[in-house]
Amino acid sequence: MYKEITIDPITRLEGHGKIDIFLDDKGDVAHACLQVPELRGYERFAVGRLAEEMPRITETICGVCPTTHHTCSGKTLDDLYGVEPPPAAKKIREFVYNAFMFEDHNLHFYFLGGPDFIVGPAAPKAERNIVGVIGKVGLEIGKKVIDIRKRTRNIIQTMGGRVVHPVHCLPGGVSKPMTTELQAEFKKTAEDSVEFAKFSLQAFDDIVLKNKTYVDLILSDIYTHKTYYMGLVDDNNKVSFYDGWIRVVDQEGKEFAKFKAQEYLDHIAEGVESWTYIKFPYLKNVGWKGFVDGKDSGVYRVAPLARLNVSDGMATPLAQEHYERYYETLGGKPVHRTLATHWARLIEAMQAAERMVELINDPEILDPNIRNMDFQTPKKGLGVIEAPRGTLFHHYETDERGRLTKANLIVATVNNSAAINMSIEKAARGLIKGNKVDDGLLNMVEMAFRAYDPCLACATHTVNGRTPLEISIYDGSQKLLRSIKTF
Amino acid sequence: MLAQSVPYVASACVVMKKVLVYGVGNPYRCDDAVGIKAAEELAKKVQKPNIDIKWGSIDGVAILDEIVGYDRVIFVDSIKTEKGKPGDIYKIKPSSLQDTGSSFSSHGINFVSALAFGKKFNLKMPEQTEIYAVEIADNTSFSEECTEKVQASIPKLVEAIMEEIEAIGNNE
Repeated sequence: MYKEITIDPITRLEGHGKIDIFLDDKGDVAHACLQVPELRGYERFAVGRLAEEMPRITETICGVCPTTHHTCSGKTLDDLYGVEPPPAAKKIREFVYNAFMFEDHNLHFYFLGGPDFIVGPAAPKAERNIVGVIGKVGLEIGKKVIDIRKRTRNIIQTMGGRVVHPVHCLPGGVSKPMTTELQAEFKKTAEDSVEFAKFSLQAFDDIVLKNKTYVDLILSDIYTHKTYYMGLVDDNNKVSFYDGWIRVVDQEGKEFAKFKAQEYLDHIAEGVESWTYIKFPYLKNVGWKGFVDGKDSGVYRVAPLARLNVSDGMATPLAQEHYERYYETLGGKPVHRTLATHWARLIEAMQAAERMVELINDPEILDPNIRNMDFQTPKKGLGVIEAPRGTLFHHYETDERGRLTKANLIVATVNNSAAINMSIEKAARGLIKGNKVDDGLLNMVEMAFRAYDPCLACATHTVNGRTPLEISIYDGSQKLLRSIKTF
Repeated sequence: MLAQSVPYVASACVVMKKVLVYGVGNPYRCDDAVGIKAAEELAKKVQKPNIDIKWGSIDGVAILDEIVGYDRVIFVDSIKTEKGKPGDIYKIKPSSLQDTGSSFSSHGINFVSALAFGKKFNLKMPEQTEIYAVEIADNTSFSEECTEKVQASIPKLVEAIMEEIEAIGNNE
């Protein structure tokens, strides 16, 4: 009936990435690029579907941040149907969303990007993982990582109905009210999350900031790009994950633009290149000048590094203290160092935890009025949210019955796509000289790539659990010199 | 009454093995949904208190979250191999999966690392884990339907897993 096999090469390549590095006649890097068979198909697939299905469809774009797509889609439906969710519904959404941000940022720090620093960039590849991290910070801390992750995910499971693909966001509100019993349970989780965020920031301080080699790496030119930055801020220009204004600052940190989601097309255009499915968004009012940084290039960056740069501060007190120290340590605003993203991510995790405490202690969150169904005839809806890995836009247009005629999604990693290419090329230039491919290439490129916490495509999972990536290096005559596969 | 109730209580005290069947995939990506469709079918047929049947798109770390506390886990997934034919059904032992070490994934640790990680922290990890996988033809097109041969394999796949579940019951 079935064949029992020892594993044959698994070639389940949905969402794989391919980095091509081209050398010139001298054997130095002429150009490097990341190619991604991307997820744009979802926009076509959505046409003809009922808009109310979108929170459940778009969240399957990605197995990593379904809560982000789900919540953004819910917000887009609010706009589409012209309904304002009741205050309790907004607070429940934001509470669940901050639980997700906290959990996802910790996942990246302890499991994915953090090992580069905690275990060390020069450590053997097999040790640069969570087990290596625990070796450094201790078994007890490892248990705390598991515990806090489980409890914050329980918030998503309980309020969202499902932890992987939640179902709570509906046009005009949410599906489930907060109860006093759940409030008591979640208060403890939120308070413990703040304590855990304190520990993580202290660990970053002890392990990374007190190590000159690591600080020098963060400050090195190889991981530096002077770009524009984009992110959500609240009415006081403080970092916001769930809602607010989209603010753009320039290379000196001066405000360049500030707008609502509904105006995004006035500010963002998307370029295409023939060698990849991924699009390259840029600032329309600056223009596309290719993969270069500087004032004349419309390339912008999103995600933690950008969110701190575009804001005037964090929205919560402990996070604000760390925000101030971050800029004091790294030489003032804005910070252009890509690897500083890891520190910014932990400061954001602190804000997410503190915001959870604020929201769950707000008596209004218990209000059973969680849905406004005063729907208007739909036509066009826009939504924006900050994914852990950057700004996410959803844009739907429908007929009068709510059936989609158009969908446009600019996902977080797409916003960073030009910058990721630039970072990869810069890392490659620093490592490859005279046709000699340095053995450290893979890790150095990984570090440049991984700081962005990229999500290459939808539901990317091979059976052995990794996003396949292939790096190919070509000499001046386009002949393949070396290929490194991670699958 | 007492005589009747004693065996009942004794029977209830038998610790039944906790089993999880998890269908992995993307419901909108054609054959990628085969694991989900099989799990949905199984959920209609199997209703035992010790057996949980779930489905969704999960990766390494989320796998760990899902499997902790179970005695046995059966994943149902799709696969593409070099020589396979669409609809072929495989049973894969996780021990045959290589731990590929650090990865580029922004999504999580790999499956083997997830198992090793859980054991390292003395979490209650499954004593036995299996993966049933169906050779697929198309996991890139947008469709809520599988291709013909893959769809046709689902009853056989469900039957194989049902037998597996029955065997667990008989061995207790």
